[in-house]
Amino acid sequence: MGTYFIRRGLLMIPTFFGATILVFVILQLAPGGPLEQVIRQMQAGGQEAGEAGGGGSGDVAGGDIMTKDQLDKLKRFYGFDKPIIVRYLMWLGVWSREIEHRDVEFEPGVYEMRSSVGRGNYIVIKRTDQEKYSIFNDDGKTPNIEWHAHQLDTKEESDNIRATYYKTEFSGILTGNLGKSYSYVQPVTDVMKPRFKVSVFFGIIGFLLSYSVCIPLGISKALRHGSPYDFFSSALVFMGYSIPGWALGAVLLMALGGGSFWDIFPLGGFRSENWDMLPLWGKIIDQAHHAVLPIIAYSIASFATLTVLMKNSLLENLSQDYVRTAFAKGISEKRVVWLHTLRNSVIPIASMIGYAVMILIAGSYFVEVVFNIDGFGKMSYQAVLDRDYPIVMGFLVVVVLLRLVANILSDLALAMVDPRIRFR
Amino acid sequence: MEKQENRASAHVETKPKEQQISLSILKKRWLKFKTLKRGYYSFIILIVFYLVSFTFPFIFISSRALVVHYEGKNYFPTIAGFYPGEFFGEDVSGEANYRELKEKWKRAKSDNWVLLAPYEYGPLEDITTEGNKMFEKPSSKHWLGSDNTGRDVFSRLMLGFTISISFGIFITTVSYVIGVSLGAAMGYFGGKFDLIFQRFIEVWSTLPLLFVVIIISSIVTPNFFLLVAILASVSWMGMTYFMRAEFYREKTKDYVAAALSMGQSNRKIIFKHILPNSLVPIITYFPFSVISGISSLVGLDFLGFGLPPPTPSWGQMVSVGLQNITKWWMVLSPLGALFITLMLIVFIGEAIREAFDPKVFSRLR
Amino acid sequence: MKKRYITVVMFLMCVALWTISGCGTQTEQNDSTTDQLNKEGTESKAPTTRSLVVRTAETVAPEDRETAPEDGGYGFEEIFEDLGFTTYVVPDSELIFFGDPKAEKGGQITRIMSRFPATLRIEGQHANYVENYMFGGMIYEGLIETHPVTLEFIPSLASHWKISEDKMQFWFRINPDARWSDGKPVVADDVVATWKLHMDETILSPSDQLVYGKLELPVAESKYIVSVKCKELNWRNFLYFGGMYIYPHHYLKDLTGTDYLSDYQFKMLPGTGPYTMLEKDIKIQVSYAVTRRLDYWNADDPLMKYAYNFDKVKFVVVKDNDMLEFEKFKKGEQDFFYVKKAERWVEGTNFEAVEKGWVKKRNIFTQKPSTKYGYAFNMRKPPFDDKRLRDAFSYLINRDQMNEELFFNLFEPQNSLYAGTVYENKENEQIEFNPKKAMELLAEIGWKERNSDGWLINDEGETLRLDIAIPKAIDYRVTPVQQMLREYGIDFQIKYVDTNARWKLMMDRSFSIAFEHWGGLTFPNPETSYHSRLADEDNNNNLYGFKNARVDELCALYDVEFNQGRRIKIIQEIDKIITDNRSSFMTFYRPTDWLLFWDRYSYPEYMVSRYLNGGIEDWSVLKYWWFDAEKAQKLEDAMAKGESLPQGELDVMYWRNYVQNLEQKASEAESK
Repeated sequence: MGTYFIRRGLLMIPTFFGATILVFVILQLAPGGPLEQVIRQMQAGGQEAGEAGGGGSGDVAGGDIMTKDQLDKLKRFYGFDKPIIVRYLMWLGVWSREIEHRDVEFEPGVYEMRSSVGRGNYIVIKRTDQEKYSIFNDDGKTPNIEWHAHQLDTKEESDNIRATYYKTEFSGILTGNLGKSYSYVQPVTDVMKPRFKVSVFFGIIGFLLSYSVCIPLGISKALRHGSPYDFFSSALVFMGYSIPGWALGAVLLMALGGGSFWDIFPLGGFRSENWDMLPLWGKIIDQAHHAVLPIIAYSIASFATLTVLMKNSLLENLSQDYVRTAFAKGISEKRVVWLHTLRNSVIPIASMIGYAVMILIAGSYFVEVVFNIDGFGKMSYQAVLDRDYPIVMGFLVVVVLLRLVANILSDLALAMVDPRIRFR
Repeated sequence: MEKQENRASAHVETKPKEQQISLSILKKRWLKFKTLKRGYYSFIILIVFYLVSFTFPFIFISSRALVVHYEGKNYFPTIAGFYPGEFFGEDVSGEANYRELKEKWKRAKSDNWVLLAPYEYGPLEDITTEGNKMFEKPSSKHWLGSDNTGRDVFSRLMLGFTISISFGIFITTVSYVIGVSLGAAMGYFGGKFDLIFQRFIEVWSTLPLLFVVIIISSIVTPNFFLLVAILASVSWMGMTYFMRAEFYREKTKDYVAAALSMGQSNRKIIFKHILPNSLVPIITYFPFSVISGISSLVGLDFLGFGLPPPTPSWGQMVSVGLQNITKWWMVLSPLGALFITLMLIVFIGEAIREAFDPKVFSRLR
Repeated sequence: MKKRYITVVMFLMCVALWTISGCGTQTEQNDSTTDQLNKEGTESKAPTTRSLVVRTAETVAPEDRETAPEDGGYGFEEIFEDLGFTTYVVPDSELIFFGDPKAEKGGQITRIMSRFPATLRIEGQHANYVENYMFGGMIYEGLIETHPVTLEFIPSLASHWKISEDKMQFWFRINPDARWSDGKPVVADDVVATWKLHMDETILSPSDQLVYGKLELPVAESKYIVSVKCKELNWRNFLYFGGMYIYPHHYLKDLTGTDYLSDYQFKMLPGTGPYTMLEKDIKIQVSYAVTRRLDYWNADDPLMKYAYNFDKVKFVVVKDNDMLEFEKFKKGEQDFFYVKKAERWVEGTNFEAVEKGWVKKRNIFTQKPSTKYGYAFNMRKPPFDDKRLRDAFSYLINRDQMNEELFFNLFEPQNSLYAGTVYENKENEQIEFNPKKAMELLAEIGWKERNSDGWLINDEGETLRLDIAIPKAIDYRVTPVQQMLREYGIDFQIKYVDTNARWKLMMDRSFSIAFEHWGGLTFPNPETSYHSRLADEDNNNNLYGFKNARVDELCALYDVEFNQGRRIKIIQEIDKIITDNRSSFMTFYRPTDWLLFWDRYSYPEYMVSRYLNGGIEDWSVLKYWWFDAEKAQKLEDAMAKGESLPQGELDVMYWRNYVQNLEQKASEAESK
């Protein structure tokens, strides 16, 4: 079993690098990255979509044009002044990243300068004519190893020598740092954490719900194969399969949300705003109240596949020789079905567990937008639109890891229901 | 009822001798498929409707006339295409307005006449054509009402059907060709080849599809085949798993060993010997892949990364419908059409699955 | 044995999932120790709501009697004229524009936002959004403000100001009564520190350095007097500097830009304004709220006394879901709603609450700057380098038909960059639908024949094809145009792109025609979109490649013209030149605001202010309206009984009448 995990883990390594490189490269090709967005913000002022009029606008602002110098600085900040390979290595955390750049200008003849590094601390930068820079603590004597400096191109209009000083750090996925989101301006892990909770909540509830509905349903359908009951329940689950869950959700929310027709469920949201203040029981009720419609929308599509899978697999087992034998021995139908065939029939279902959980956790942009829930689906879609590369990459890492977990889960589930299966 | 038919077909299946080759197996399965009424009729309805739907713009749904009889000659605008209004003596700058033409000649009791298409509203004409209003309720004029720019919902739905099904079929075919051959090779050769391609598939499956669409559509205008290519490039992977498993199993069987010992080439063994025996997953999953193809186009259209406007697409219709959710006909029509189509395909898929199932349903009680 | 092992693993996994899914009671609680400044207040005038207001300062700095009057201390009011300073004393007749004397403090109002701000800073990286301005203006104050009706300068933190003769240097005298929310006095150093913060490149907001870089480092001449020199002559400099929100230097002094960005991401600096944002009200990605301060320094000023009446203004986030937003309004979870779509205004506002008068519906005429909405032509390359084609395009689009069929005739065709405002040049050509003329123009260029598909072709047999990239949200405005053009043989191809890709295409000038939508400015600035120097460069707002020597000249004149009347004349001339050049075809503008609100609130006669105050239309509601307990009670009773309330007059014509009166007076004066 140990070797099994090791093998699984090792196989993940090439996948991980391949996937991250692939996505990393594709991201660079997309039109309009974070730089362009800063430019847009500057130029458009309060430009906002609306139907003729409306929208924001300022008193005086808008239409500013960025200078080349400013553009270079922004590039430096986002790391776009480095070649793509270096950027990837930085993201991995095996190449040092330059952060907190600050520029200084030495007038000709000046070789030493005291400069702020924030929160009241200062350093002293000394230069030589050979473009060599050294950095000292505020006392001017002890060398400072935290900060580095190098010369920049001089500007045309002045003779001042320009230099920049900065810190370096190794921070990337291998050091446990997924970087900082461009659009949320927060560490990626901080952005993902609350959304992960939401998605896991819906993922697990949806999973439990669909399995606890579909397995009995599939069994009863198999036992009554061909009956009107079988037909109508098939029609029902396929209806769920062919109408997009989010569209159904939107219609249900409109009808039952209390805005226009019946006031039965809250109008979207993950929980009430005062959830923290509720007693435990109130919390559960409130959470459930909010979750009903989204859960339906999230998991309705999986009902059909699961039910049919369960039904078919049970039917198949019922036609096996061992069932024939069991019947021949005079064992009652109940006993045959529940004791002998069922266990074998859930094998394919069990092998889907990992996959099902993963799908549900990855979330659905549509459902989350319809219900105003902050989950993974909305986050990852918005990250695409915003070109929020750290989030896209962070999400990718989560997906790759989830897939690993999902596979392991499937295998474990399989091993539990099928004693013949052993880990290789 | 169905049970008895199953039994009947079971008898059919057990009778022919074993040496029958694969073709007749297919035939047998087809016979069995035919006995599964629900799936069979769904299949007939869908295929007929799909094929006929290609002729809709020419004989059924069009703002152009079928026949115009003008000064002794007959013209066929739905087939021949653009006729300027001036051509028929109409005072318009663009294409002839056949509905008006008809009225005009009728009023004037002239010898000229117009035979309009049975459904006289095209999928593209909107409020800019005189007489069309936005958000019209379903009526005998507009069977399913009109949308937010006054376009007829029914005609868009019908023409969207052709596009949707074609899209589903194309994408499934393309991805099956890739998926089957690669999956087969992986299963057959195994070893390092298999290991490497498994990793490749794992990597490729993380491809951010939306980014690819965004990048491509910033360069060119996406069209039907481009979208097929993009979506097929990610959807072939599912099939490889099935084929790989099939080939893994099949290649250990005696007939493969026999073929090998006879010095057959790998290609021949794969395509001639094993593939016909591994068709079950291909055919069983085909309808479901068509469904997912249709759904993914609907999703892309909904998000605004799909076919360019004014193409009548179901995704666009669903998104407009949900934006104007109080206009029930705009919500229910595309969702209903989607539902019926997918349902038919599901029924077909069900039946195929059953027909291809070698085991006869035989509950012993 | 093995099996038990597996069960244990499964169990552990379940436990892990349980804990990360947050089913426990752990929440992102704020550190209460940092909240020590926020003490709950006790006073409240609104009996129906719980007390919401707060006192933020433990001790307030006593009056400073030590600073000499000539240094800006008390007594300066007596001598300011001798020192060359001026101020604006609001005459009683104008006080109404600063709030209604009937206004009462109290109550709460809720507004739904479509986005949670990326940061609660209002300066620096990612702070340049409507949301940030919305609460920023309630928490912080600038040195001066503009008069809501006349746009003249009025005092805010600075009670007096002085402009040097050459208009290159400004002085401001800070009101010695001004206090930070932590009780400390506002001093000249605060202004200097704020300017320095803006100029720190590490706040990652390059436009700040562009704007404030037009000024030299301000000088704190005394405790209360601060002066600043301009690098170039421009009337905007006074507005830029005077309108800059001031932050406390006792917080800023040791912070670099980087520190500021990280420390104040979701934390507020103390402000001087009437509101504060309590940490307990910040629920990341869900909601945030501002709470009225009881110890606001300027509460008794006639300009502030009847404004900012709500005890609490709450912003709830509903992302990208306009439909849900509206549903929430209907359900009463949001108190007012600006309708943006004509179709919703006409057909979506017939729900029960409106029909019974519980929700009031108002069509408000204002004079806010008009947005520019239409099609931009790239004049640098064929085919739109030919003015005849631009004209033909404009004549081929039947705006009246679109307005009637799609927008219920509620919009106005736009024929000026500044339609509906004082800057509009009424002599601009009023473009009418004229296909005959258009076809003549096209024939002149060479598009004469039609091919068998109905497309126009030239002598080489090429068809006339135009490509446009649009965001999906506006397709219903563009597809009718596509149909109109098809009618005349122009192949207008649409493709969808997302916002960023579209912007990139426009900035790289890789388009021939593009859909444009610009927000309006209270003080227009045509230079950034039409100056020749920008025409041949990428990445600026001169999408069109517009070049005109006269416009360049006028822009230069405009910058140094300090008289608003003459500035209007200059802009009108520019408007005519640009519009006649047809660098873009404008479609519609909306002359009125469409507002729905639950009938719990009272408001001044004019309902919303004349211009777009602070750039945000909701501002007026949040600033001048108040919670009316009596109305709220009536509404509650009516709803309980299912009774109707009078709906009242739909149109609010206050500003239209006001302007007409002004014009009448002016013409009378002229005739005399």
